[in-house]
Amino acid sequence: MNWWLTAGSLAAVLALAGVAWLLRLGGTQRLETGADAIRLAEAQSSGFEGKAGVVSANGELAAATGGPGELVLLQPMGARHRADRFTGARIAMLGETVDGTVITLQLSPGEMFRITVSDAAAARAFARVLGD
Amino acid sequence: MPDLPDPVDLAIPAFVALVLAEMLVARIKDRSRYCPRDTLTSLMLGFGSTIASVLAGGMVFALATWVHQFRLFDISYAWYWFALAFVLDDLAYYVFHRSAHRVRWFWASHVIHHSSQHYNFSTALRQTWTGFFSLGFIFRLPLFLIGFPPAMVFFCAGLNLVYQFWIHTEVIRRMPRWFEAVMNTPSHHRVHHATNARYLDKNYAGVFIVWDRMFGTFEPERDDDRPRYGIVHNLPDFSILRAAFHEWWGIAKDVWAAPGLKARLGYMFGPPGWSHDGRRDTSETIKARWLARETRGEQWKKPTSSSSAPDPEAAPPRAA
Repeated sequence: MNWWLTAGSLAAVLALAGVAWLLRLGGTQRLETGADAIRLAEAQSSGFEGKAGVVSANGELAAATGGPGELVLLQPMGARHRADRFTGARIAMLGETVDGTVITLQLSPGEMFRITVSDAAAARAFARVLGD
Repeated sequence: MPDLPDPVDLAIPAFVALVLAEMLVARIKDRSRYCPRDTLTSLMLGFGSTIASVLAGGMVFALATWVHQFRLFDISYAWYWFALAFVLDDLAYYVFHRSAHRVRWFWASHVIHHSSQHYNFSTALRQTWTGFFSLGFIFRLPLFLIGFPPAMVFFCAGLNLVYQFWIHTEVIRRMPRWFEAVMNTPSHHRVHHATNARYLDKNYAGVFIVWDRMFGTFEPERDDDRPRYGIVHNLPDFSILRAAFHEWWGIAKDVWAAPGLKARLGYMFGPPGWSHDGRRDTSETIKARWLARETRGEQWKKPTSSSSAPDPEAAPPRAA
């Protein structure tokens, strides 16, 4: 093993990651509409067919539902999103605030998730499909 | 035997320079093309892969030398044998790569390379740690049996790997038509890395895309279906260890819980996503579902004979 090459490669790895950070690469991709959420959920979650979607007011979080209990949650992971799928999800609470409609989801027993949506009509439609 | 250099070692400065250049382009055009944590994971996996290669390289070379003693022909180090070795090694790579996507045992090692949701030069360096364990080297053994010297084959394999670096980019859209027809290009390889149903299990080529055209696995990139990168079940974080070993862990769990020998073998050597009860998705089921949906979509778009008549196949309304 060439130790100089090994040490140089490790230094280059750390330097390149540092440059990516210094250049402020990455960020979070914003989602705009419920349709964006559905598209991304379908792409990320094999076999999922979305019927309604909501996007958080800041555009970072999203959720899509394909029917009663069926939910895909989208959360930022670096500059992309990660998707988590739940089959027994339900609406725990739905309420209006000055920031928008707050949807509290029960993902599984003891696991809650809250998302604030500025589009009240989309939030109601989402709740209807998930809770049907 | 000539003392051949390792092309990958020589190319490392160029790799670093090109990653830097692509980062600068990303800074100007689209910052989301790179993500610092993803880049660090990719590069650390690449670094680990070189360590693993050094550790296993001696054993692989010894095996190659042992197989070479049973060779059919004596092949010298003349330049034309290098050229032929390069082409045949690329064919061996195609077979290996196709197997790496169709047999879970090989996929468990190869999945590392596909586990990023980004597609850039750092993704090219996201390489396996478990190549030796997965026995991926067996695909090159026929070359030694033919008579190609191990040093020549490994030199060509290094060149092949170096070639494949530059095709991992979104910066280059298309190469000239003649080049796209023969060679593997960024466009062809974006298709290979995509998880869009249309693109799954396509474009396995290393250097020459002609293998895919010959064996029916070619799929061109479409402007109306932009590739989405990653794997069918993307990783939930940037953990290096998870990226390196998650599929092996998955195999171990499945084999442990499998109801019988046939199922155990299926979980190891069946296609990725195979399950004894058919609950999981393979690329075939994903493609079939996508195709059914596409067909349904086309039916929805069918014009009716009378514009005033309600369309019996109208798409159901979509709430959003």
